[in-house]
Order: sequence, then structure tokens, then C-alpha cells
Amino acid sequence: MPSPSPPSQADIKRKAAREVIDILHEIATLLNTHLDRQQLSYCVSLIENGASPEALADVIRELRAQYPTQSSTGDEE
Amino acid sequence: MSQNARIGALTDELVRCITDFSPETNAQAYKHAKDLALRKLKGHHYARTNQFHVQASLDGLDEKFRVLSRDDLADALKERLTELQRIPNKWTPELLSLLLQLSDRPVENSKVED
Repeated sequence: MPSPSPPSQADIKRKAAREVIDILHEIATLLNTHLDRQQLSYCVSLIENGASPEALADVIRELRAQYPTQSSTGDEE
Repeated sequence: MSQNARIGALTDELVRCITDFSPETNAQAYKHAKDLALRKLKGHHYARTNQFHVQASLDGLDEKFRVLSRDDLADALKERLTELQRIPNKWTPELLSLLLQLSDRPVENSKVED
């Protein structure tokens, strides 16, 4: 049986990116930011593409205030 | 894809998952929400986040948690921050800054689970 090929640079980068999201999601939960993993992933990509964290936080707060969903109105566990 | 186009596409996804409505069923509200988000996010150049300010905020939070007898929360946060620092990422200060700004009374509301 052939031995598995070593992971490529892209694989290593992907694994590191996943690990960063995992840790950030745990921090987001500890800080009670109400961000789920998917929302957090979009936030990470936006910041990596040059969005300002202040502007992004402002947008998220405003969207939550103007368009409250069931999960953001205190129904979540 | 240009940076502005990428920000536009990512903003679209973020708006969908925060507001919970789809552009097909609620086109006008969706457009309003997306315009609001894009106005704030697109085309603004900003100074990089000061990593020392972020570290000072995290140190302050650690102290606050411990003063308010939430050592469990302080320890859990410290452990994750140490893990995060093991992975080199130039955006770490910005990402932590975002989470600090969205933090919502963690002393009262956060539970630490194993």
C-alpha cells in the first residue's frame, strides 16, 4: 500500500485557518458575542479583505437592532 | 475578483445569516440591510488595529473576571488566547478587537463548559 503523500502548503494553510476559526469561536462564545460559527467565518474573511473591525461590529449591532431574529431576542439557550 | 467585489459578496452572506431573511421573499428589507452594511464596510481605509490596545483590553477583562469571581472564565479565555498566539496570523489583533466590541456582559451570561 503506498504511503500517503505529505500535506501540501494549501492543506497546511487550510488546517491553520480552520484551527483559528475554532479558537476564535470559543473566544466569541466565552465573551458572549452571539456570533455563530458561520457568521464568525464571514467576519474573519471580511477582516482579511480589509474591512475595519469597528465598522464590522457597528454593522452587526445595527443589523441585529433593525432586524431582530428569534435567536437574537433572548430565546436562545 | 477585486477587493471591493469580495467585500460585497461576503457582506451579502453575512447579512443573510444575521437577518435570517432571504432576498427572494423579502427583497426590499434585504436590499435595505445590505445597503446599510455595504455603506459602512466598503471602500474605507483605516489604520491597523493597535495590538497593544487590544492586549490592554484583554488584560483588563482578565482582571475584571477575577475580581468578580469568574476565574473559570478568565482561565478559559487565557487558555484560548495562548492557543491563538501559537498560530501566526497578521489579523489576530483585528479579529480580537471585533470580538471585544461585540462582547455582551460575559460575567453574567457566559458559561464555561469543558
